[in-house]
Amino acid sequence: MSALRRFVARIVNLFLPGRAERAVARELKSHVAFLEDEFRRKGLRPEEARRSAAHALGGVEQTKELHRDARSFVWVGDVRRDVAYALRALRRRPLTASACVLSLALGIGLNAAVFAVVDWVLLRPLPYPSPEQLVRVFTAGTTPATGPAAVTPPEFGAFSGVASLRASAAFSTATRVLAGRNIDAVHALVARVDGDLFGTLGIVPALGRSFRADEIAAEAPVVVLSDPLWRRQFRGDPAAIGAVVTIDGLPHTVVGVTAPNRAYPRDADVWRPLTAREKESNDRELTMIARLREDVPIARATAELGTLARATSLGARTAWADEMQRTDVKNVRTALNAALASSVLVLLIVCANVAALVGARASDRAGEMAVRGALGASRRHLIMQFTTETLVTALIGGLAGLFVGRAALRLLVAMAPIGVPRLSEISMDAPTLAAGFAATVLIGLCVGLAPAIRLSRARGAVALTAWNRSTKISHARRFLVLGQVALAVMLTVGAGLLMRSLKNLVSVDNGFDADHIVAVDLDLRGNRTVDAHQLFHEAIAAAGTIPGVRSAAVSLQLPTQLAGLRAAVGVAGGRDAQSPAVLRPVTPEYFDALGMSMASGRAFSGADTATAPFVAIVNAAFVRDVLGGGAALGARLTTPLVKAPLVVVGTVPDITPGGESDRPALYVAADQILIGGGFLIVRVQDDPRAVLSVVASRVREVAPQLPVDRVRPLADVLEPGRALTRFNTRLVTTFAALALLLSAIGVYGLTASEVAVRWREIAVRIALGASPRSVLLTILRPSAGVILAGSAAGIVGALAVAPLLSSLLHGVDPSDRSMLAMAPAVLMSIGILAAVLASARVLWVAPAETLRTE
Amino acid sequence: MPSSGNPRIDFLPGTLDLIVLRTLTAMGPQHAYSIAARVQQIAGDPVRLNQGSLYPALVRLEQKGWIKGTWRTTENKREARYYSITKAGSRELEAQIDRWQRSTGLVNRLLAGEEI
Repeated sequence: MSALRRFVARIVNLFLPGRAERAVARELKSHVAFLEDEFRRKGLRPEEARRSAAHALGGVEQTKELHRDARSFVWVGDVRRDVAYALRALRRRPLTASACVLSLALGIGLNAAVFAVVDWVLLRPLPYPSPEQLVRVFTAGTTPATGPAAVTPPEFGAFSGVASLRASAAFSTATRVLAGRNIDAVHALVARVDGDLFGTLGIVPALGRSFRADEIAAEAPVVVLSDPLWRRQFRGDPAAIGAVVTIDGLPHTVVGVTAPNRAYPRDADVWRPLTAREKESNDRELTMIARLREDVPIARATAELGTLARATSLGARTAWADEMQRTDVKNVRTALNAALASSVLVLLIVCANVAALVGARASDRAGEMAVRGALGASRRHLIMQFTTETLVTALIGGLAGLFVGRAALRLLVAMAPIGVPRLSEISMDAPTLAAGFAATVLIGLCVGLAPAIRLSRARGAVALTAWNRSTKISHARRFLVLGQVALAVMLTVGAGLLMRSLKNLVSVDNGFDADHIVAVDLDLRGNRTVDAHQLFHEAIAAAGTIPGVRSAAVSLQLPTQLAGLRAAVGVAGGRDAQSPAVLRPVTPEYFDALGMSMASGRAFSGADTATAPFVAIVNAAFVRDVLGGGAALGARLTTPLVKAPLVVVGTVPDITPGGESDRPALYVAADQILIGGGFLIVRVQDDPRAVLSVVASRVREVAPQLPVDRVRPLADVLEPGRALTRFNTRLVTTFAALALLLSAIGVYGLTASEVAVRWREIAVRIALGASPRSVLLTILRPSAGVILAGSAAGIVGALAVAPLLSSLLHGVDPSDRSMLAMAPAVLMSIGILAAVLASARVLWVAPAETLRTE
Repeated sequence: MPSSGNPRIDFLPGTLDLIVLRTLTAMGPQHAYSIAARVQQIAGDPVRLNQGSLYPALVRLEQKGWIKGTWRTTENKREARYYSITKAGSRELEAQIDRWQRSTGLVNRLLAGEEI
């Protein structure tokens, strides 16, 4: 009881030292006064009495010190003193200190940011109750073996009855037009749901309710809105519940709004029950998720699903379950791990630099430490004090790193590809901060402890004289730089591979000019009153009047998408069998708008109207696969989609968006076929971004009833396929550049201190007639050895690690050797530069002068 | 280094607390100077004791709630901090005296060569 009381009192005094300090001063003053009285009574003169009084007390300051020790915690006081001393020491060496703090801030900040992303995306469990029970169900063909695929409605019906699954749901998504009273028509991603999706996930809408079982069974026209859509379109108004919205013109009643960041699939805007017609389509496009029963392992669900799938498909298909989280992050896992690994490598290089700086400072201060030791400071205390200095440095660096990290995280999230799960939630919160703090303390201890221990050994007169004259750079320092060089080489090699694969992706030949095209979705869904052909002509005419526009056209599909209207095509006078081909309705200037030129024949013209003879233009793949490489012009084609036979009037090259090979396709004149929508393709002179808003407003003028919310450069449509590579390349390249810079600093520092330490020896050599060249070599040799050894280690490491990157690479061999020499060359040049500068300095100072000052 | 070079009091460890508590019981509230004078009187060797070394004991006892300090004015119009023993302090003193007597009794008997 009394012990606890005392503990509390000491804690209080620890944090409020001022009050107790004043009280002690007052009490001691009174005590000394009594003693003075006593000595005066004994006949001493006032002067002597005062002195004797202080002596009898044992010194006022000493007594205060005793009082402090008793009333608070000695060690805490020690720490406080060490910290104060450390801060003073840092202020005395502002350059070293700020170099350490800055590089640590950079290293720790970057790592905190990357770690935050990795933590949120890969490590944290999904934000649903018992997330480990959630699984995705896949199917695949067995003969022939095919990749993981979605499920069909009948499969979902069968699989959801499996014993190990407590609940399950399936959905497929599609872009539809959402509209309603007081709501602008917009494109929305609609998730069509079968089964209890929200119940399976274990979530309830933030507003309203989810679908009732009878609504799902009866395919009731009800919808749940996503939180972002609700905020955007209903301005967060709770009255949205009960409102009616149209999806492609069909009215639906809003029954709920999801909680932010909890909805699934994450990018869906609207959920509605799957309709019977959609179920009948029997398409393999349902994503099935399920919740396992309590304590049922995934393996059992997989076994049951596999058995069932083989039984119902007569052995043609199999099925299995996989962790939902693992499936969600499958595409980004390697990329994020690579980013984290690179940022950790950068941090290691930072640590090596800081360790070198601290080590160098330690050597400078060997004398001071030896004096302190000689004066009676205990070894433990010397170590404590020095380590406190590096810890304080690390903590300041860590604190600054917090700001670096926040900025870096904002940048990372902005740069990250859309497909990264939970992007909107990522923030620097407690776990990230804790990890950052732990890393900071660890760095402070690691970097400080080694030189501290080395220093504390230096005691007595020997240390006082010998330490400042050390003629060798410690092996530890060389080893640090060697490690830096190796890490920097590894990072640059990795970055080089990624850069090349991004270049492959970006410079891939699409078969059309994607960089100067604006694409506008002209979605007529739900607008049955509009005459599509009329609208197309008006839109093309409106776009054509915009300055800078070279041509405009409409096509049913964007050239970035190869699949489309499937048609069985027969060739008159050719083989009997019909061949599959894609039908691509386009308006006359389409090929011109895409920057494609005709391979032969003519393009469509305004004369190819509904009443004119039906014509077609075929692509190279069609000529090769359907026409057997024979003459195309004049060939007569038949297809069930067009009433009369089509005459081929021209041929065009294949399009290859993202490097994908084209399939046989025949382009038909849009006026000669019935289509209910398409894309306006506008080819501009310069940057397509500059005309986005003008194009949008012109299209709105001619089609006020359409959702004109998707107006974008065509290149953006291609972007998702390379966003991940771009993200990774930017990140790793930045890290590699940093690594190279930091290692260059390390190499320079090593070479420079090589000279500083051997200044005297070199002066003697010069005095004895050594040539400048041999001086340069003397200085360069040790650093060069370190760089070469480090490079060799780095190259070996890079070759060992590169295969791990292979899933991130496109068209690049992981063992590609073209980047291997880059980092070693840069670092060697820095080493040579440092050596040249240093030897110039040595040669500049007359050797006699150097020797005299020594 | 707080411990190095400071004069030590020639008392058995822990006896200083006992002496202070006992002095306060016997003489009523006292300030540090008069406690120190009393201790010196008992020790009988005025040179040995730094009066300041009394303070850690005072702090300790006060923090444990066994003594309590209040500012008062002396007859000579000087202000001084008077320490008085608390109820808890009195109980503690009894316990310490009891412990002390038992252990000294043991040592005495041992030194006298008695069987234990």
